[in-house]
Amino acid sequence: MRVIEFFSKNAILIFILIVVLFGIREKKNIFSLFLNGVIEGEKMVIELFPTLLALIVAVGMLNSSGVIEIISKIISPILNFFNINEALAPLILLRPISGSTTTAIATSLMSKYGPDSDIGLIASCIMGATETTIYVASIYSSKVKIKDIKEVIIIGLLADFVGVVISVISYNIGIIG
Amino acid sequence: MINKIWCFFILIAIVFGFINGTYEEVNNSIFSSISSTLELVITLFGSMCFWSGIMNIVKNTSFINKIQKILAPIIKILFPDLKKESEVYKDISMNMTSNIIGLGNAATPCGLKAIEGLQGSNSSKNKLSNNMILFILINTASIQLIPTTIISIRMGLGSKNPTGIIVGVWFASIISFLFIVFVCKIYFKFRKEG
Repeated sequence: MRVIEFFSKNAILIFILIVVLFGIREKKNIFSLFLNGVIEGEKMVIELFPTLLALIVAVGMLNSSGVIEIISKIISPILNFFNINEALAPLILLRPISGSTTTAIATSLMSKYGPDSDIGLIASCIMGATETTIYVASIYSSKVKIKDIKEVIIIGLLADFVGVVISVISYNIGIIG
Repeated sequence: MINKIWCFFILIAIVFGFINGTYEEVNNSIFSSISSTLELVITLFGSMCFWSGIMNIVKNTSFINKIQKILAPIIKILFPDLKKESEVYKDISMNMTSNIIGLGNAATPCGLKAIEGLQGSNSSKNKLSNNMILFILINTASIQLIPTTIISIRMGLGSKNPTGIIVGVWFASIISFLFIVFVCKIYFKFRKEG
């Protein structure tokens, strides 16, 4: 456990150290590479802003209307079986479809319960460990104009659910936090 | 898709707000959400730019080749019938590498090239080949060295240990990746290609 703790606290420092050492060894202009990357990052955030605004407002409205609680209650037997908190239901349900929507949901969960609460930590882990499966599958299959993607969706969604369950287990055995 | 979701959210929220008597909360949430989006974007701005800068160094050093080397035996197991010199192999390798270092913008173009390449050797053009199924699924598995976006958000919301989730994320995504490979390998034994 102490190794894991050390690693998750210092993974970023170790990573940056390795990256910089590579740059020095190859005599690259690390500083200007970094700055060029930052400029790309700026564009990314600016591009992200409209969707985030649209979706965080919509999710906020949905949250305050009380409808999410009702939906969560409906599917709570399944969630309880896997020891998953009901508050995570909207995140899990929408994750395969839309990345920006679930970013908005995860953000509002973390600001409501706190990023270091059980819900905040599990939500973060789910966001990191799962992908927008249906979205990805439809992009790739439409590129080659194949419509029948049942198999991909089924296996992909099962794998996402495995990711969710393992995220909860990771929290329970204490490797996130 | 997202268009429908958004309209659906707004309609449900307003209609349900009137039914449930929570319309005042719904109304107020619009304004509180706007300001919390702005706060989030301001904090995200710094850390997203920072990560994008670091990852740009990775992209331009041989660090990226190192990751490709580590991946080579894994790709061999996943796609045993692909030749190392083939264009498809290179696209798949680049796609997986970009995903791992979190360069989604770089991963998608090579991924799309790879799927076209796989379609080239697909025996029936309107059905996914085994390789194509596995390749798409790998892209839905989200194996990432540093989950930068979520760490940025956690930083923005004042977490005491924003990176504390890394090991858990690796654990969960590796297990779901293994799940995909395992299920596919078994499924492909029974599946008729073409």
